[in-house]
Amino acid sequence: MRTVLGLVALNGVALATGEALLYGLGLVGTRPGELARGAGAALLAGFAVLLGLGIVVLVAGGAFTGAAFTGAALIVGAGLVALGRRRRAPAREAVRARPDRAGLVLGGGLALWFAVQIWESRALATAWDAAHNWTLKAEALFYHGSLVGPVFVDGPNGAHLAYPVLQPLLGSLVFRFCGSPTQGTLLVELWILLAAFVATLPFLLAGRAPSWLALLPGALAAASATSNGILRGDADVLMACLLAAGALALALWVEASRPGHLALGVILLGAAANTKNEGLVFSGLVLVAAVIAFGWRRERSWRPALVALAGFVALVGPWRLWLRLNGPFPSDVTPLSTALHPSFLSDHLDQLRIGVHGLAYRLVDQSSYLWILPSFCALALAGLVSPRTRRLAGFWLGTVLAALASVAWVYWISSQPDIGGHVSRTVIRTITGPLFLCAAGLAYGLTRLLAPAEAVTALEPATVAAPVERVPAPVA
Amino acid sequence: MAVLAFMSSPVVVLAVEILGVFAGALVVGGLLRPAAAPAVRVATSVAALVGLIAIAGLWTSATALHGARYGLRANGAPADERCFTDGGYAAYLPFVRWIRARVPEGDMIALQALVDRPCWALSLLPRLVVDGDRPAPWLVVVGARPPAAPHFTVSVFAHGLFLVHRTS
Repeated sequence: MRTVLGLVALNGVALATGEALLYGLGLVGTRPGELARGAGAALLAGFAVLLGLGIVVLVAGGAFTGAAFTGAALIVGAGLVALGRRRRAPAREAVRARPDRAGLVLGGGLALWFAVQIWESRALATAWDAAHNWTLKAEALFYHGSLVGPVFVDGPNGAHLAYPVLQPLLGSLVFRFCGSPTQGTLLVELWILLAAFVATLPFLLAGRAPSWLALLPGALAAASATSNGILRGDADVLMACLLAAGALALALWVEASRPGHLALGVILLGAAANTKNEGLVFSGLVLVAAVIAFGWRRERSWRPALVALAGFVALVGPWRLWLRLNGPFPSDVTPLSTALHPSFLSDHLDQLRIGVHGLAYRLVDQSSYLWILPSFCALALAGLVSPRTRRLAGFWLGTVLAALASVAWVYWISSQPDIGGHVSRTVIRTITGPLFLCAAGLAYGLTRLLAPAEAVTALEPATVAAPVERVPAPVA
Repeated sequence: MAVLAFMSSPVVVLAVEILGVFAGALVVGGLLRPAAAPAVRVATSVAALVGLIAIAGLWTSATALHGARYGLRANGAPADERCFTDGGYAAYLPFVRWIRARVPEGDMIALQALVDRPCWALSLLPRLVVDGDRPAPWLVVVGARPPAAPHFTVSVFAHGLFLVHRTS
């Protein structure tokens, strides 16, 4: 009972903060229906904000306890609600579209599927990677509160000391609210956040196409083999949820220049960067791609893009500063000062070949990865053909390809002696982020290409609205 | 042979899958919505494909996840001791539990042994594990019995497994 109440309380605090953030950004109003539809995005955003603050506290040498988490939520939430009330036209950017019947049925089925996963995962053992990194650090934070030296600074070799601590911090809060460090409760929380990601897609894409169209790619991502990562207690799925939701928010910003989407996207990407080192690279690539896509139109001001970049740096800066002050820590990636040398790269070309083959070998396994990448690529190619969607299709395709290329690059410059074994062991995790980007891109592309014409013209500001004659015919 | 090897390489297979879905979606979309723009035809087919796979995938993945969970069941043992079993050194577990019963929570333990330190660190929390050459009130020795010294108490768990306590 304590576990259930603890999880309800923890998620309730994060949800309330996230709803306040969405309200402050003008992405939801105060109607219960709107708040309910925004719950998935609110939960992700609430944790992103509060855990980001928690990392600042940890870096400053403090302890981020349950009381600190709740206190921070109250202060931040109150500030955001005040910000929302100051807006002359509250929730101007909120979309009040109601979910369709098919969306409700699919959503209900998904809720049942997640409930089964949560119930079945509540008593699992701590898997290898979690024992050596994520759960070890989460329990250290639970017991000791702060970044204690023997675990985080002089920690054991193999504990990936250079990795950011957002998931361990989340885990420590789960344990604090539930009263004991039980791996199963952390896994339950990771399932809840995956469900929140799936619910985020139809919320952000509401108002143009039926909600089931945006739910399907999220369901595909949840059903793919990447979800095994949750059972292992890895951080890849949490990072991928934050990354893909952030990328979707930025795509909407590129499309319609709404600052609320920009702020939400940067906050979520900052959290993804604070979850895993891959998340930092992927988030940086998404942000750069969004800025390029945004600046494609010359009449646009660069100021929001610069603010976004500054915000991202501010979010990821504290942990990077802590690493600088307490590192360097052992890494299996060759430093760029060496890796960028042409002779190094040519000497390690075989590693690139092994890495690319390892990635492709996994990605062609459609019984595990459910045609997400081929479906996404086909849709993105189609989007490139249509003048109305070319810019955003380029954004999504470029982002996914750049993310996959960055993984291949890491394998190219890896200092692991057994690169073949390293690739086969890690690729099941490293493709999670790119696949979730594909899922978010699929949801975006389907809702845009299959949107009725009147929905497109009604929601896009005049400055960016497409010529009506180019809008495709409505879905039959 | 070289051509066959090239054609069956995963990169080529992936490219064929992508182009296959694109071409198939274009054709099927043309049948479903002949008057629509090519991009809309592809999107229509991809939506149908994603819908079919998602619904079937949720069912099959539930089965696969059930199988994966079977291998991760705690079976009543402490969840954090699993890495000892996975690493092939479950024989140390009684020693680890014995140490937990003797070393107060929050104390620092130095590990003077070639063991999987993260795994020990997790199982011994909230005690803090450090390398064997670091000063700590407790020292775990795996191997030869440590020599007798003033202010050190050596407790023996079993042959080759010792817990040393610095008494001052």
